[in-house]
Amino acid sequence: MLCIKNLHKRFGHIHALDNVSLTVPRGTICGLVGSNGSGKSTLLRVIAGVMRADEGHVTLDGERIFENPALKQRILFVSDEPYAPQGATMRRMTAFYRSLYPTFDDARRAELQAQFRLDDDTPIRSMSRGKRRLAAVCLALSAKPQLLLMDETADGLDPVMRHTVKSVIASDVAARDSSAILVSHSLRELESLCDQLALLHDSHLILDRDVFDLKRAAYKIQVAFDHPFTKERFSGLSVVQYEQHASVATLILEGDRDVIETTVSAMEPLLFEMLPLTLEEIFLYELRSLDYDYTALLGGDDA
Amino acid sequence: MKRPFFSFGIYKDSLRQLRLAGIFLTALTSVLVCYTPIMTLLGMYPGFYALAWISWPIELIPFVAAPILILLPLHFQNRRADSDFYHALPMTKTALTASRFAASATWCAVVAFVPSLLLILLSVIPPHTPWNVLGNALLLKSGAAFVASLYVMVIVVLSASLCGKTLSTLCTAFVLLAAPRLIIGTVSHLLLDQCVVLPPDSGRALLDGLSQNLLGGNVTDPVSWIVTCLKILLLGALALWASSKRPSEIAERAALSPALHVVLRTLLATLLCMPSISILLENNNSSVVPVPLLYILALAVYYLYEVLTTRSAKSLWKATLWLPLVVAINVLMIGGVNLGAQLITNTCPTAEEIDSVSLSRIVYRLNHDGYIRETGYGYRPETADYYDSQLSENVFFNISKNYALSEGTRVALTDEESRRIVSEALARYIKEVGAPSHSIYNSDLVPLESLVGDRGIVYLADVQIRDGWFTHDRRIALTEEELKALVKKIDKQAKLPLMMDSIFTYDLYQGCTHYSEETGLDGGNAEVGFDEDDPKSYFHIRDEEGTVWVTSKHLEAAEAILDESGNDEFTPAVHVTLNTDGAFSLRDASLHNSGKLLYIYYGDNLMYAPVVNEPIYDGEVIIRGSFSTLRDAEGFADLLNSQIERE
Repeated sequence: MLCIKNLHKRFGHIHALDNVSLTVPRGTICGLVGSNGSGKSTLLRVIAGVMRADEGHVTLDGERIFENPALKQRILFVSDEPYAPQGATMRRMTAFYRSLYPTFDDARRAELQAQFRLDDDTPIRSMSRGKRRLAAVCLALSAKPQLLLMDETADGLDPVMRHTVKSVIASDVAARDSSAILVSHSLRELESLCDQLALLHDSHLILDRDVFDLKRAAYKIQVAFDHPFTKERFSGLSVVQYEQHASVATLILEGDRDVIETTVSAMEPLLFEMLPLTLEEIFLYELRSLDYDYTALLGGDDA
Repeated sequence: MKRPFFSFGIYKDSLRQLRLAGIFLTALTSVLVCYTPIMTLLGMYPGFYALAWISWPIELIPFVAAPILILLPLHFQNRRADSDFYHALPMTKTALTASRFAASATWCAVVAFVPSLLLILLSVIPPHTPWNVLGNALLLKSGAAFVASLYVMVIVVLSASLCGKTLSTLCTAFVLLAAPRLIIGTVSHLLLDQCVVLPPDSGRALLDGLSQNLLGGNVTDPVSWIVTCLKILLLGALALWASSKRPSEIAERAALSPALHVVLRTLLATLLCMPSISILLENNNSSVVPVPLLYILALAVYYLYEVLTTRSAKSLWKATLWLPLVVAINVLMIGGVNLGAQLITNTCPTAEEIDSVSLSRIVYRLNHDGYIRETGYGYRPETADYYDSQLSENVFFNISKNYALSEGTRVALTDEESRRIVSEALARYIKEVGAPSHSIYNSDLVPLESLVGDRGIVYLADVQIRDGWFTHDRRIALTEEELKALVKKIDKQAKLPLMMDSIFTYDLYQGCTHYSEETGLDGGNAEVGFDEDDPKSYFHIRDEEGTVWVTSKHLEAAEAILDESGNDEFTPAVHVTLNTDGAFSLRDASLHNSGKLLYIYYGDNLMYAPVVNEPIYDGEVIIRGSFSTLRDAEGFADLLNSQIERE
């Protein structure tokens, strides 16, 4: 289990991380979101042991990560700009990773390499941006890490490969009971993948919730009546958001699912449907009390 | 928790990354070092080439190859993606830096030693090469360059840990190189009017000399001192400016782990304390060294570094705990240097080992650090000081009054003074290095052990010793009696192949004729005689009847020139100017021998035989035809100048 406690990181006068605490249990994929400059990448680097925290600590299974090579062998960090040395090919990088990560699995590497259609002898630096990222993901997952850290997971990937990478990561985490932290500035990117969501804003962690819990805390319904109606008709319910087009209204409601169903059914609507709540809508609900411009999170890459 | 300090994976990866730079620098240095010998082998530059002439590119390694080879592997700190990749790998930051440093050091060793090994290899290719290759001295020089390179690389790593960006790193490295020597030199000059003695570690001496060449540091000249200060300030400002432009992600010395921090701090303190500790080890030679002051300065920098890098006053106590380690490393390093010097030092050769000999008078030059660095030969009244002082005709000394004055002041000394200084300097030198030892400059191996004490004027004998495939040149020091005894001993040996190049046969003890052509060169017995009254022992011009018209006493000046021989071609020659008496004698000789040959001799060697077509009134003679290179001509001109009689 990854445990981050009261983490502070400053660069000169800039407070990049301010009292951040987060726990990521095994078998969990945590989506870390936030706008540009919110501290996502810095947090990932501190977790990966790239830099030291000024205060607080980061532990994996109770051990501190920074300057702990044995523990870092179980952590793989894929940066937002995957790096490969000059002239390095997949073959050479495989040898390099194999020498550093005892758990590196050649068979898994061959399987992923075939899946991602990566050549053994092409210099990685000469590959396209997407291919470079796939190469980094392939090597990282072949090392079978207990904790996978990925910055801007699907950046530069086409929709098919994006889906493939997500599936691979999800199945890998499930199969090995490992964990992953995926950083993105786009909620849609993480929509279908994450079990846990954390939101960084202005170097503070302002939200850390289980996605399942989030989705159970609010519900989206669509209703229609055979007579005119307004928002006041739902005054008995806790309405978070209300939109009406002609005789059809879409609402996000807070509260118990059974109570909502019973109450709305009693109104004898022509149409009543419980709709899946998107992460955007959940964030809208969760962040309504915060002075936070969440719309920036909605402008990411299309899923 | 296991924390390895080294990663072979990173080491191999770094070696591979540096291979292009390493191969290029090795090739470049090799070409520069081996160019002259190869040309000589091909017959294009026949002549004698001392080690100093062919190995100078090796001296540039610390300041050219080393920074390149260490900055390349540190460059990853300048880019976030690269930095993330390497720092996230499962190893400590110490292991990361140490592994990359080791790769740089490996390539640096290749760059430093391969040219020397190639040169040694060339020296055994038949036909026997005429240049003076000293296997030991050459490798020592490479070793010195390598040691100096390590110092430079440590300083660059230290700078990189403070700064991050390449430009800032370079500027800081220059400041770290130049500032301490300027401060120490200034303080010792102003407060103590004493020179500071560096340990005779050739690597440090090389580094020191080169850093002065780059940034200056002459504390006795106010203008030079101010210019050096301005340079340091400018570089410091540039370093700060460049440092402020670094990416925030690599700020806070992301590359510097606590353990590496300790290592660097220790190395820094070691570098700073080395002069003082080494001096302490030689029982504090009070004539030259402000030891306590050096220690205070070294410790001040040591703690300043600590505060700057940790920004915590608490860490000062921790830093203090490491001081014993600093001292221990100093002792080990200096002990290692001494032990190494003893291991690679050869003893004075026995008479049976000597194949040939030529003789010269010793000229010691005490370098700015107070140690003998160079030896010359012959009387070379090069400066006006000599003529003006008229103190004596004795040994020249280059004596510096302080640390930063590299060129020193050339003075002439009385017999008594010279004996005293030779004895003191040599005693110190021997004590420091563990005599006998080397002066690798000018490729002279000088077993100095026998010189301790009052031995009067000493002479050098250049000897060649055959050892299997190799021929070693040695220069041994002898008193006049020993010199004569040696010559007699050699004279009795049956076969004496002369291996020295022709021009060096003129580097004789004044008054000692060299082996005659009839007996020496063909392997017969050498005939060496001392006849100081015979004018034919030196330079003279005689006619076909054997009448000597001009001798050494008529010489006024001699100068090597390139004489135009037509078709835009130039030939090395020596332009001899005679004094008034000599001009009259030459005029008479030319009048009496019109249409005949005049023979210009040095000893028994015929140098030139021009036909007299017209009377010569200007007292000037150009000697052509005996010199293959300008250096040959310069050597002969020096020899003639050494025989000019001064009022």
